[in-house]
Amino acid sequence: MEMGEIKLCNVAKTYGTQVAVEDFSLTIPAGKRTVLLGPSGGGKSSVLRMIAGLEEITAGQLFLGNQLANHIEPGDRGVAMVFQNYALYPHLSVWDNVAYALMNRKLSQEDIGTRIQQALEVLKLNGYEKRMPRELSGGQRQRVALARALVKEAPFFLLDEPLSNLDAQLRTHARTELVKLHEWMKTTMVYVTHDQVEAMTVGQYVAVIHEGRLQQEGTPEEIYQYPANTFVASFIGNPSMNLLSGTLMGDRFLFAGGAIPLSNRVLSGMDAHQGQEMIVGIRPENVRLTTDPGISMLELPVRVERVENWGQQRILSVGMGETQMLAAVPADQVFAAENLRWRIDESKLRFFRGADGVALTLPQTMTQKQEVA
Amino acid sequence: MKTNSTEWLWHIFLGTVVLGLLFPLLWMVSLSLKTTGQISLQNPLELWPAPWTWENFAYVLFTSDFGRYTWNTFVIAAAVTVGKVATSLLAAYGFTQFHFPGRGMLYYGCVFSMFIPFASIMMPNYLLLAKLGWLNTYWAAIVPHIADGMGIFLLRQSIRSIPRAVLDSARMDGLSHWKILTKIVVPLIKPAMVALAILSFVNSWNEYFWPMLVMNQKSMYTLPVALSMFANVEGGTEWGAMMAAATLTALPPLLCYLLARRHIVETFLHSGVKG
Repeated sequence: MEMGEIKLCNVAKTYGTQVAVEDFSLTIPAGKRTVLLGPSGGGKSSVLRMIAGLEEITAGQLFLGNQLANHIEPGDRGVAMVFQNYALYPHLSVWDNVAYALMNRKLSQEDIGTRIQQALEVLKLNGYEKRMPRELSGGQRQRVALARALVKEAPFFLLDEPLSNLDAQLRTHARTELVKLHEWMKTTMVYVTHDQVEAMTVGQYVAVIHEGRLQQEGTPEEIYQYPANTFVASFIGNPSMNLLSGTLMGDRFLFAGGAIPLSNRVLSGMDAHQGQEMIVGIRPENVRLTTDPGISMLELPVRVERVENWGQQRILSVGMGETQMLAAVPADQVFAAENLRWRIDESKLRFFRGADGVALTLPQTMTQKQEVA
Repeated sequence: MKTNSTEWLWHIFLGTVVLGLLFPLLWMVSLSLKTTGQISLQNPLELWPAPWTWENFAYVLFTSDFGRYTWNTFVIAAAVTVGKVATSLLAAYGFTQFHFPGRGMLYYGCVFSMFIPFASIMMPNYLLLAKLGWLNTYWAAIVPHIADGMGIFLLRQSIRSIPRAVLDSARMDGLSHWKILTKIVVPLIKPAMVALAILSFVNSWNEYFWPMLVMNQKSMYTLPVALSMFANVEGGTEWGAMMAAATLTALPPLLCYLLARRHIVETFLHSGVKG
């Protein structure tokens, strides 16, 4: 099977009456690391399992490379997969576990031996060939699972939450190793996770999936900077983006915390939303707090209500009028409680339609999935 | 931590139960080692045979058709065991790995068949076998027992205890269902299969009623059926010979249990916990 992109066209998956994935279209770029990100039960694993062939596709088409793959057997798809709990064969040695992946290939014994040897070497497992899975640590098992996928030299490499069974320290390390491994393999990699940090660090391309639908796709930066809707805005980032609901009135955004005057640059194209409910989003690290006497119109008085120490930064819960938001500030920054102000940087504000949470200010290059729908 | 006294009480209680269970066995062995004279003249509850004798065993082994009965019993038990394990394995794999309409109904139907009293299917089975002309053949004793709900239940439970991802992984490796079954599933559920095999073997070995119904030529008798022949030989019961035959009959099942008791205990514990 040729190396290439994975294309899902209007794919759906239903279990009886329960809809797991709905009208899902996504092109996963060739040779890149694409992360399917979303909360548990959102349908991302179903998408991955459909690509693998472990779940039947209820409707729509799946292309692997340029080949329609809906009805190709999992073993014939040129797809290798790493499972969350590694799924090693408990009764087989490390060597046999890896060798089983090649059992159905028409390869000479010699070829098989060389390939296994090579895979074990890359994953630093030499010397462990005769061990049984139960005699290995979590990290080692995970590497055997990777070796098993690696040895197939498949053009498509799927990983289902591969790091979530490792402890935090090992996870960070394994993440780096995984990226290195991919840079060496250069296959089309699809990586499922619910961890947004993992998605940002591993992914070159990210697709956010929630309630069986694609919410947004793009580079990690695009998704972080320009969330396509309020779900993505609050799901990505920790602490998550502040979302302030209010109304657009003339050249002002009125909300429970006061009024934010908006420039013509922002207002252009928002005529249709005049008098409508709207949501303004701002990331906590973009909330700039100052005690300098204000001269600008773009300032709102705030009061600090609670402080959480996160180590390198502090998370302030600040009140404005009858509402609240979070601000992330460097741990060494000191604030006087008096006269504290939020100095608003208009370019950091994100606007969402109140009715359905869809973003109103996406850069031209970006596609708004939901507006089409 | 339990106190010493409650532990002792438990030991005494359980010891009594074990003695109660062991007594008939010991009594059987004891009687088999006594002469007819000893049995009728001495206190029959006297466990220690003094002097003891092998004459009952010699009589059973050399003057009756004991070899033939043993062979019959063995052939039937072995065939039932192989058949039951094979059918249960295939059914359990199907019930766990394939989605098809009516799967749940069919499975529970199989399981509930365990609760159908034997007496109610005895006649239809007998008539069917008679029609087929299988009476007095091994088929009659083997075929009706070759599949049952219990075996399907046990093996399904243990296949379900294999992580789904392991089987998914096998599919990703391109293994056919047959290979998944033989190379992955069977090695992983071996303890349950051994337990099922032993239980089937022992049950079949001890089965009395059904073989008695379908076998009425002496040459086709199984051991339990043959045992009853000793009950009235020329008017009186030959207790010594009968007990010797019973002892010999009981030996293989006992050995089976001893060899595999760990598998059996584990399987039943697991099928409960992981249901």
